[in-house]
Amino acid sequence: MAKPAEIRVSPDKITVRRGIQATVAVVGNPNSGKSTLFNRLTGLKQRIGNYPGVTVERHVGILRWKDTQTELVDLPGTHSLSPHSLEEQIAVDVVLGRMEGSRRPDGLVAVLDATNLYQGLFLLQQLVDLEMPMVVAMTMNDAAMQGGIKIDIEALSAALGGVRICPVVATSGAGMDALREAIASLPETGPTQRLSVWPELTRAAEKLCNIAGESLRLAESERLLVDGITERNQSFATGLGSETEALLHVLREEIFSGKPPISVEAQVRYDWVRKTLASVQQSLPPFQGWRSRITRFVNQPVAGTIGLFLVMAIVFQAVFAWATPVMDFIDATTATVGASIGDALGENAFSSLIADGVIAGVGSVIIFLPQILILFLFIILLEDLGYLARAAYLMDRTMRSVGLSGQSIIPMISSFACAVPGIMATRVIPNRRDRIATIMAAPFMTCSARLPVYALLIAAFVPPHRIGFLNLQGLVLFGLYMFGIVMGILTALLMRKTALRGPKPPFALMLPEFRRPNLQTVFFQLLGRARIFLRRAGTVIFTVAVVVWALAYYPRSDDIRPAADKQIAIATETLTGEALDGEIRKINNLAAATQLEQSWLGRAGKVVEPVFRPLGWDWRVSAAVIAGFPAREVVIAVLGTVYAVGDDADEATLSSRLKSSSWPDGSPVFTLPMVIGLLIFYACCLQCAATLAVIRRETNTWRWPVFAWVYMTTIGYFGALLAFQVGTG
Amino acid sequence: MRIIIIYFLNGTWLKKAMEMGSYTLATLKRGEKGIIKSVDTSDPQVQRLMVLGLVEGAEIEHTNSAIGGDPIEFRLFGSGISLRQEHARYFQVSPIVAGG
Repeated sequence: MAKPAEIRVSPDKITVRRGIQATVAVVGNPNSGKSTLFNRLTGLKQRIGNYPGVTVERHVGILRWKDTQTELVDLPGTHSLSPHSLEEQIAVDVVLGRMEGSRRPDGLVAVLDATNLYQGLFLLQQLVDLEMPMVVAMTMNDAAMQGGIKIDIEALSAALGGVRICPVVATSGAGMDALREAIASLPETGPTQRLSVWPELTRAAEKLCNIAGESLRLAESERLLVDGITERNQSFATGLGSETEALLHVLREEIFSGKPPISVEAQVRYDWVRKTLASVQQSLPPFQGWRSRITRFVNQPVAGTIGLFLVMAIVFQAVFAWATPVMDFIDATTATVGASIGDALGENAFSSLIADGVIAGVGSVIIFLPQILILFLFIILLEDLGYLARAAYLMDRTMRSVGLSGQSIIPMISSFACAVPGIMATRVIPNRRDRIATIMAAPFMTCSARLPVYALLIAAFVPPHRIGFLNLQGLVLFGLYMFGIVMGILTALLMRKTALRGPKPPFALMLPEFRRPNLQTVFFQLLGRARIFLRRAGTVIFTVAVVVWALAYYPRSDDIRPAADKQIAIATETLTGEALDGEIRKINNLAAATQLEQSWLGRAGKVVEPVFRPLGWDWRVSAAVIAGFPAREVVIAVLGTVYAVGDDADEATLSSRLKSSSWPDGSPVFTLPMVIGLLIFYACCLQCAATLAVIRRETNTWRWPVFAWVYMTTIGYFGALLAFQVGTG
Repeated sequence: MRIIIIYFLNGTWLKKAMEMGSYTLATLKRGEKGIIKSVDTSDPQVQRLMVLGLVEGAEIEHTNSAIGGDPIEFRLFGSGISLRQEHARYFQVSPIVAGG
């Protein structure tokens, strides 16, 4: 995936004077406006992929300026060239040219946030010392001006060894052409002049280079001295030879004399930054705009927390309620299209495959899109606004008490609507262990697909007793929600204590001032989310849907349909009008039930019945539960078919049929303990192929989805077993 | 409150308090400013915080906190940064008394 430039240039483009002649990396601090700038520069001409073996996204786009084409790579934000997270490491590896499958960029666009020169200049010093062609794009100039910050760009450029600085306002586009011009001419630009603000380090690095020979560049040698030989730069450090390694240890001891190298580096470089800032930046009394006023208000502990709950309530309401009409519409459309195609093709295996397999499969993929798009619209808007970091800050203490961190709050809340967007939202969590613990906890939250099953079973089997002013049915539903939350929290705690044990990450969040979200960036990111879901998770969901269709369809029995047709023929002779329609429906439903009984799915239900017998389930319930593993919401339709009331039966018909369902000895199948057990099973069990596919996608391994499935199913099984046995015994 | 008391006492008491190490980022009250005097770098997490600019000589102001006083929000060279109490303790500060 690394050499798209050569492959993509079609023959007709060779006649153009210059094709893609340079690869330029866009690097900067997190939240420095890097992505907005990247979108501004490349527009729609960008592709999103993954770096090999990791979940970090690789954004590549083409910048066209006059007759040049430059390939731009948007790197994850980093504070330093000594990485401490996976994202930072990728950024550093690409910049230093040690990323597997990517060649060293021909130049750099360093993004510098004008409102945060302090941290920006720290990274910039390190970048300038790399001696690569570089241009500095200074963003947030409008915000800096409002904040009373005046920057002397010429003085700053001089302090940075004469590197070119282009101030831009990405939202309005001011200064963009100058920046484009500067990027396009990077190949002709000479390398930056080293600042060497830390002479001791540079001298030691020179010594190291002399021994190591040609292969080691000065900047690499400096990084090696600071970082030492670690797991992360091993590939880069191998081939140094034992002599060089020995010298490295001696030199490190000399420079740092036992002190932690990154703290020494931080001290030296920030001392320089402070001195430089004094001469290039003037701070005037800040202008009291709406931003600072709102910021100050939402930062108060109590008001801020109340505000956060309001925001979350709106987001939750939107995902839960606004998406429903669209989802109902998709559902209805899928059904209509499926039915009309089914009618047009007649009754055969191909028609059923298209109508019940393919179209239903496509439907089961796009049904998730409304929730995903609405949730991400909010998340991206809140992130661009600068609110997401604040939400994490306000909730940190609470979430920490359950073993997670503040950033977990949005994914957890979102999972009450649907775990799929919730798990996708865990990207905001920088720490890998926290992130996976959150992913494992998220599917326990009661999602909207569990609700119909809960509603059906509760309405049918839980008596509507009044307890005080409460209703028992409502209480059970509430209990199920709480049960999910408790299970999720216990899971997170358990994970953090066992498989994901490790130091708590330093919780240092940058809390940016509020800024106006850029709609173009929001749109691009939203598009990216949707694309990723459709491509990566959609294929799995679709495959599973078709497989389940095949299990329920095959093997066909040759006797069922003719027998049903014969019955219909008899009925036609004796009955007319509505009575006939009702009879035909009954016969068809019965035929469908018989067919399902002897399909692979029905047989599977019978095979696993002994397993579920201790839970009080007969083969019908077992088959419905098995069919529900790809998507729990289908269980009602399957129950409808199994109990021969049709797959679109209304709740009342189905629940009365469930009530009358009995074992061969006449005792009812659906007793209260069995129903409670079934509810517990549904509350725990990970019956959702989409969630599994998304976990796979977000963790980049099958290990976690498999673990989640086994773990949750086991808990569900034993929970149901306990409820039934205790209740019955 | 503490600042006001210190203001009326003379500077020796303040110096003593600093030497005793009683002033850290965690003891800074809302609205108070200080300059980081020294950093206990024994904790690797604290080293990462130094990369974010929490180094000796940096001026820092406690601007806010979440409910319960943790995490704390600081202002560092015009930017907001939040730290947990447990990490804030590693940074010794000398308070800047208002007006002086």
